[in-house]
Amino acid sequence: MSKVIINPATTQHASCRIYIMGCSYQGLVWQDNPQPLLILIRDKCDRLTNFTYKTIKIINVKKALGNEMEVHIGDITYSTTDRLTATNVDLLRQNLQTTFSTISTFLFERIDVVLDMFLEQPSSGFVFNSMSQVI
Amino acid sequence: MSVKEFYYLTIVLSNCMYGGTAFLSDTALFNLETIIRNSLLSIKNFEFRGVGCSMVRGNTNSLTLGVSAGYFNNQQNLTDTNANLLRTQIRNALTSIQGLVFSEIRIETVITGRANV
Repeated sequence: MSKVIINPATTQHASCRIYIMGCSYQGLVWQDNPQPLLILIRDKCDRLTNFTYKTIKIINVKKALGNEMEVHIGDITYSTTDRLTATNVDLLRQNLQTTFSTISTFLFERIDVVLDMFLEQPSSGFVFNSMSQVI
Repeated sequence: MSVKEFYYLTIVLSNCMYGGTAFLSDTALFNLETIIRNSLLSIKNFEFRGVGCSMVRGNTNSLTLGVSAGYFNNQQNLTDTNANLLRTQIRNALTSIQGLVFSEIRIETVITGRANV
C-alpha cells in the first residue's frame, strides 16, 4: 500500500487491485498447473499502455458445489494520474475486457476494479492485542 | 484506584452510498472523513483515527466504509450494556450524516491496554 502525504494533518494510503471473476481456461475452472495461463495474462498486462502491477495470482476456489477460478492483479496503477477516477476505471475495464478476450479459450464472467483508500489522523501509537469482540 | 481500559474500534459500514454514488472522488472522501469525524466528536471517551473505503467498480458497484477509532472505558471490562450504548451512539451519529446510506454496521472492539490509575 503506497503512503502519500496529502496534508500535515491527514495521511492518505491508497491501493488498487483487479479481480477477474468466473474464469475458465481450456474449458476448465481448476488449473492443476496455472503457469501457462499466468504467462499469457502477464504478457497481456505487460502490453497495456500506462498500466503497471506488482502481483498476478490465479486462484482456484474449491466450493461445495463445483469449483471457481479467479485472477487477482494486485497493486496496479493506470494512467499518469495518482488516483483512478471513475472514467479511468471504466476505460481500464474496457481495455482489460478487450485484451483478455484475445486469450484463446480464456473465458470470464466479469472484471471488478477495487480501490482501497484510508485517510488517517496522526498516529497515537496503537498496539494491537488479542481479546476482540463484535458489538 | 480505578481501572481504565483502551479499546481499538473498527466500524464497518457495508453497502454504502454517499451523495448517491458508490464511487467517491478524493474530494468527496476527504469531505466525508471530516463529516464523520465531526459527527463522532460528541461521543464521550471516543478518539477518531481515520476513515477507510473500499470501492468496487464493475458490473455492479459497491462501497464499504470503515472507521477506525479508539475508546477509553472508565470501568473494568466493556460490558454488554456499555457496548450496546456505544453501538447506539455510533449508529446514531453515522445515520445522521446527510447523503450517507448503509445497510449494516459492524463494530469490532479490540482491547489494547488496561491501566490502574
